Amino acid sequence: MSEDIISGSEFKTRLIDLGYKDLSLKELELNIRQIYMEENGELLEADIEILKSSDIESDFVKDSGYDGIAIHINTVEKEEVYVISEGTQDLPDWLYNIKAMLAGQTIKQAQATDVFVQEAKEHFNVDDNVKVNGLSHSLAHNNNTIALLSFDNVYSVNGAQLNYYQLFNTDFRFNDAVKNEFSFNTDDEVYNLSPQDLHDFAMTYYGDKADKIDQVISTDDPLYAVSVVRGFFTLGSITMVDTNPDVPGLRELIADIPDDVIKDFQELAIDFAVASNQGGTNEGIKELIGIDVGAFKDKEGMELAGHIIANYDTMVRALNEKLPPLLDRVQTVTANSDEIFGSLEEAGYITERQKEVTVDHLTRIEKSLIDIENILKDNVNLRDKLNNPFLGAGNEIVTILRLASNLVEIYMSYVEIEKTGILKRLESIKDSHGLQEMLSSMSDGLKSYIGADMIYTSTSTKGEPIKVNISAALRMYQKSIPILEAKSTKISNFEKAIKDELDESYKDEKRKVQDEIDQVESSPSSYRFLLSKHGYYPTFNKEIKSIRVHEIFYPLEDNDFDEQLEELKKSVESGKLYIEKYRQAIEDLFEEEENVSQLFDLSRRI
Amino acid sequence: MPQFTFSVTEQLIPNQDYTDKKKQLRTHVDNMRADDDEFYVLVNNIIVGEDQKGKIIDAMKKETTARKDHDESIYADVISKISKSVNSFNEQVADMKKQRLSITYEDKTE
Repeated sequence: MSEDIISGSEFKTRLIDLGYKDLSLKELELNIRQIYMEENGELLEADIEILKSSDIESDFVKDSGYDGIAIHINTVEKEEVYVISEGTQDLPDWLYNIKAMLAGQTIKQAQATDVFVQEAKEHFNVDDNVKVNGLSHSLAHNNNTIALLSFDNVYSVNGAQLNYYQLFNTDFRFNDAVKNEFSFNTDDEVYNLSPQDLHDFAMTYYGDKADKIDQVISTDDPLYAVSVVRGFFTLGSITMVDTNPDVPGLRELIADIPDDVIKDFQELAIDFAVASNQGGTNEGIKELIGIDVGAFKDKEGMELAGHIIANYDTMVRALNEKLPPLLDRVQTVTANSDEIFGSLEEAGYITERQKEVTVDHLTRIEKSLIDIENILKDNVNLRDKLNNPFLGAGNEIVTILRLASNLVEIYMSYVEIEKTGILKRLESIKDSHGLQEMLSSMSDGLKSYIGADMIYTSTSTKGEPIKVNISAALRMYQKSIPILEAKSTKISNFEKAIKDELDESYKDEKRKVQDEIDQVESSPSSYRFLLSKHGYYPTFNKEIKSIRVHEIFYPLEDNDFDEQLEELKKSVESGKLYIEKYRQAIEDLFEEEENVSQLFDLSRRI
Repeated sequence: MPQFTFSVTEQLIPNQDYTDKKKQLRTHVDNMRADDDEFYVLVNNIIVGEDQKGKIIDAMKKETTARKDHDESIYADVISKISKSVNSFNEQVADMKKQRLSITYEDKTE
């Protein structure tokens, strides 16, 4: 089989990165052509059509939170469709992550991927013989691989892996196979099976899909670290890359977390997911904390106060019931903070001081959480004892003040932790999930990447190698002429404005004065006031017979901008020469690389 | 009846302030500057890192700085010229509105 139109990890990764940029269809097309030229040293001689998932009429796709871009490339000899599915971007995506990946309760975005691919094929009018390639990052890998039937292959970077609980709950054939294999009847029992056994079974069951999946994963990616816990299994051909050699990655740290702790969090996520699948996100939150936050929506002032007072007893009781199990999970983290942050310090992610302050304040937070739990318990016990939904203003105010004091303590601890700079420091973990760190580590001799831009490193000069952003150089060469042309137009506009605002305006003023002169000379009697104005009293016995205006109009001075306009125009012309000089300078740096000159030539033909 | 003539300088039309024209004209300069800014953003992204040295790099950096400075001096000159021209326009129009008049009247009492 001949090579795909878009080939190479770098090209595909840069294309996935484009999906995150808020580009118009035209900008997307130009960027695709630009990247193709940079990567292949030739123009993409093909028709390109693009469809965004946000532009299709599907409530299902919109409601799922799925975002994707389909690109149809037709070179006449070859026709292919590429679908870039976007990873986690916004709150709906994060909620989906909890419901899909942690709880394993939904595949809506994967189903939406299917719908979008079918709509795109229809839109592009392509049949099933046209190859459809999935490109994905993060959450999108989970979506694209579940929707694998729609794709001929999937390429992913730092993907959220398939989850066998998610597939057990949504793929009825796999559900049957698991139940047969492990001999049980009710779905809930799956969570009690050995995760390792389930993992191995899923790997075998879905093994035939593996040859359609190519993944590049950073050893420092937090999702890679997380994929060691129950639920996840990694399919396909995997290329591991150490994108941040300064740290060892978090996988070992996560692997040390006992499975029952993960199971606890999974149960919490399942409660949230099941409730929110049935009644929406508010119902999910109600399941977790016991309070219907949706009921507060659109209420303010007295109406809000009235709602709280009317439901106060119910809310306190619900909080008292729901908070302890939730706090237990949080305490799992706080109680083990010394070990967790000790490992992060050992691995070089944080400093010793950051670890000490964080552990100290997490201990304080834990104490405040226990206090909150006890305050609520005391309050409810007292209500039960008095058999009265209201304990009286005094008691309630004391309860509220005690709760508020603990919340302030928690907030202050958060501020102290933040002050250490630990959150900023931990951002490097987030960076290791991103596409740019991955691209940066994809260097190939002369070529490397910064952000999504291609960098060439010159070794032809003496001393330090020189790095040139070749993407930026080509953009400069390509876009600077239109910019200079736009400046030329603005100089013409300025020239016209000078004529309008000064020359023409002066003529207008002259015309107005001339009109007034004509008026004065033709109706002198209307200007009797001039007699008194100039002291010719009495005026009642005098009659103006004529007025003669000895008009003098000087030509307008100081309106000559010729010198300035000339300089501005020269600057445009010298700009064109400057661009060519810059091109020559870069070509000189890479004189052994013949294709640099060619790239400059091609860039203006896109 | 006798007629008499006297001459005066009279303001025929009320004066007006045209200072706003400076703003109108400067807008065009701002637009040109915006193009330059866009141009230099493209240029400045080419060399990776500020600390890179080398004969070719130094030459291009020097040329870019010289070019930017020159462009800036052109704009400064244009802005100054706009200010001078509009001030002068204001004065010249005000002068034009004042003209010398010969008024001839008839005195009916004589």
